[in-house]
This record gives sequence, structure tokens and C-alpha cells, in this order.
Amino acid sequence: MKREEEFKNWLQRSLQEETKDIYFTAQAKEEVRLRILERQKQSGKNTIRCSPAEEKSAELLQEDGYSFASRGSILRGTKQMGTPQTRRRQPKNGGLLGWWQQEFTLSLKAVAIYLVILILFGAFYTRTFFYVSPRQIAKFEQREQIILHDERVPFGARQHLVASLDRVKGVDRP
Amino acid sequence: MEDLGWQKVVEWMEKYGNRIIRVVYLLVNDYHLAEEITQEVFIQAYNSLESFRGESSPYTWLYRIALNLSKNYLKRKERISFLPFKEEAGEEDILTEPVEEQVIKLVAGHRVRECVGQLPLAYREVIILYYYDGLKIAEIAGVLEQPVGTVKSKLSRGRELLEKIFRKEGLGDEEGRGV
Repeated sequence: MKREEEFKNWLQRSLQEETKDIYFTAQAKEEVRLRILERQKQSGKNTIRCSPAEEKSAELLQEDGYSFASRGSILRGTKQMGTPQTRRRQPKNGGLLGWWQQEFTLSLKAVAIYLVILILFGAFYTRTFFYVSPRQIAKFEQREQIILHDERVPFGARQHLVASLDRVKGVDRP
Repeated sequence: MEDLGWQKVVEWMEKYGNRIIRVVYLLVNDYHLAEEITQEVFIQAYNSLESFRGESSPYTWLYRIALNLSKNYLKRKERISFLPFKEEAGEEDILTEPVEEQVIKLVAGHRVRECVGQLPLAYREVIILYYYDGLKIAEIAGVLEQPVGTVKSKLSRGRELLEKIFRKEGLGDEEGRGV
């Protein structure tokens, strides 16, 4: 029990030390207000009281293309990562990007599964892993020419035979 | 007419803003992102104020929003991003990590945070809420909307994993910190 308490205290102290300089600043709070204001303007309702100067400021932000709404779009998949210094500003043509400029994401799992399926399908389609019997090889060797893409011949068998017979018989590629 | 909802949100920002941004920071390991997520928490709180019936404390409710947003971000991070080609290299591309960030990395607490950051998210959130923020198990169960038993087992497993990570990173044992 004492050990558990010690561990808890130590971990808490270490993490508190690490986060002691982190604050939700007045500027960040002000941004919340401006972002709500901006979204309200976009949706046509305005319930937050603000001075004309502040309203102008929210408008200017929109006109300038630096939209707080776009910054807070983590869940919509258009968020721009990085520190404020590295954040790219939106273009001035109404904040709209062409489709070729949009960031898009794919699930890592989906890409991995797709690649595995593609490899397996390719392997089965070309019969790479299939056993090539001596009889099949003998049948190939009797041919005058090795014709690629002919029938459903195992890919592995073709590779071996092409390599061994190419020099002697020549390979026809229709 | 003065917006009462906004007044409420302002009050919550003053009261809970620092606590929430710190927890989010420990979850996502990025200050600027933590700030954005925390801002989004209060925006969402403002927008869905009507759905808050006051059955739980505002802090629990805000925490739940913060955790969901952080989780969504972390899930998104596991995806492959395809960024458009940059038109030109501007000043923003030259700037590197701020000096403050580099200094912070020298502090020992940073290593502890990194170790916590290595935990799978399901355990990380429970460990942070319990050990860092000092919430009780029942409160954590309320925030995560999970049974108390599940939270207990996650806490126990999370601690085991954390101890393993600490040992691997050479933290803890020598000063009798309970690891």
C-alpha cells in the first residue's frame, strides 16, 4: 500500500513538473469566443455580445482567409498540423482549396490489408506457390518455344523454364 | 440580451481550462494541439449546452468531450496523410522546433511523460486521470462511461505496463519510487 502511494506521489509530481508551465491562456480563451462568433456568423445567428470592433475583427479573419473554424476542424479531417509558426495560411480566394491541394488520409490498417490481399491474389493468380510437378516441367521442355501468357501455366514453372531454355530455344512474347 | 450560455462557458474556462489543457497535453503530447483541442472542447460545450442536464459535474462532462476529441485525433494520427505539394518554400518551412521545447526535453519529467505516452490509449487515459489528475475510480468510470470493474482492471494493467516501460527506460528503481 505504501509502495502504491509512493508510486502515485512520484508519478504525480513528475507529471505536474512537466505540465506546470502549461496554461489555457487568455488569448486561447479569446480565440474560443471569436471562433464561436465566427461559426455563429456563418450559421446566421449571433447570441454572443461583442463590440463592433470585435465583430470587425472576426470578419477580417474570415476575409483574410485565416479561419479559426478551419483550425478547429480536427474531426472533419482538414486540420492543419504544426505550431502557429508553421501553420500554413489558407489561400485568399475565400479560403477554398482546389481538390488537388486538399489533404486526404487513408487508414493505415486498410492500406496494409489491401496490400496483403493484392499480394495473395497476385500469388494465386500466377500460381506462384503451386507445386510444379516433374511431369509438367518435362511437358514444357518438350515444347519448341516457351510461350508466355499461355494457358494457366504456373508462373514459377515459367520463370524456371524461361531461364533455362531461353538460351537454347528462344522465347516468344506474343 | 446577454448570452447566459456563454457566461457559463467563460466560467468553466476560468475554472477548468488549465486542468483540461494539461490532461489533453499528456494525452496527445503536443502543446499547440492540446490548446486547439481544449478550445474545441469549450466550443462544443457551448454548442451542446442544452444537452448538459447537470446530472454529472461540468468537469466530468468537459473531460468526456476532451477525451473523445483527443481519441479522435489520435485515431486520425494512425492514418496515412497525403499532403499536397508545397508551392514554394516559405519562412514557415525553415522554422524548426522552438527553443523552449528543446529545453523542456532536458528535464527529467519529460522522460516520465514520454513513458506514459508509450502506453496504449485505453490505459493511458485511465493512468493520467487517476495518477495525474487524482480522480477517483468511480469518477473515471463516469468520465469514460465504463463500469467501475473495467476501470479498475485497466488501471492495474496500465500500471503493470507502465512499470515495464519505466524499467526498460531505466527510470524509477534506484530511488525507491515504488517501481
